[in-house]
Amino acid sequence: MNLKDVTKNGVLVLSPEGRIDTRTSGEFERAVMAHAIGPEGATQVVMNFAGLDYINSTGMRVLLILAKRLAGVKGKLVLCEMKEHILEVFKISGFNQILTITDSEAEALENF
Amino acid sequence: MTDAPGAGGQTQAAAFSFRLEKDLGELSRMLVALEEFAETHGVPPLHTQRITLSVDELVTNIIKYGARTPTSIHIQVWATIADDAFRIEIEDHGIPFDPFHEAPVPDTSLPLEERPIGGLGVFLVQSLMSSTRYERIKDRNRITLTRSLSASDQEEAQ
Repeated sequence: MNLKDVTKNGVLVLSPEGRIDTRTSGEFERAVMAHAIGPEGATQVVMNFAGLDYINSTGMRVLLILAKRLAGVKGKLVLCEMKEHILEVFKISGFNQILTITDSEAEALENF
Repeated sequence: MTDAPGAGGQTQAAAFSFRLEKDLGELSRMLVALEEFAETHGVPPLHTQRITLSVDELVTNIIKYGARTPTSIHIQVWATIADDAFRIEIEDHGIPFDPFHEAPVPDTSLPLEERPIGGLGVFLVQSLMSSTRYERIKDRNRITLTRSLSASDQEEAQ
């Protein structure tokens, strides 16, 4: 698991790559929170899943924690460019009801 | 250990077997091997992902919560493909636990502020698989999953 970060128009775009599973979700959580939470942390965040091949429930847990924390500081999390099998699991979990999910990164950035 | 299930069935079955200890690194290697097994036998990618995730969620739970002592638990995973179905059996000799009846069912309709963190794994398995079964056999837990591979089942989940 790798996490790339770039800021576009004041929005932090995080791009995890590879696999987020039970072994790597702790590392994913630390990396995400280091970027998005804390006194200097971003509050407007896009997560681009184009390079993500796999995520299990321990990784989805991290996204839920992040979304709750951002909502608590009037921030927002938008997810985009999910592969079909990942989108399916997010829909089953009802995450598409509580998070904004868009096809492209450009559409994701229009939400801010 | 018992023989691989599915042996002696009516049709020639492709078979996969993997034994692992309480180790998340081994779990990752097992999942990669399972994915390769499915791909080699022409399982459509969406089904392969559903199967891999389901096995991951259940074995993760066994590794995290199933051991009687902190050090050791042995988990055996078998998979067979026959009659247009992918069948998985997971056995461990840990604490008796029926995930399909004892795990709490999450309310996926709750708003963000009220959604509890965690508890999705077993629910995902039940949504992604065609059937799920738990049995306690002597000192072992046995979980049996099946995933129908027929084309009409490609879009049934959700």
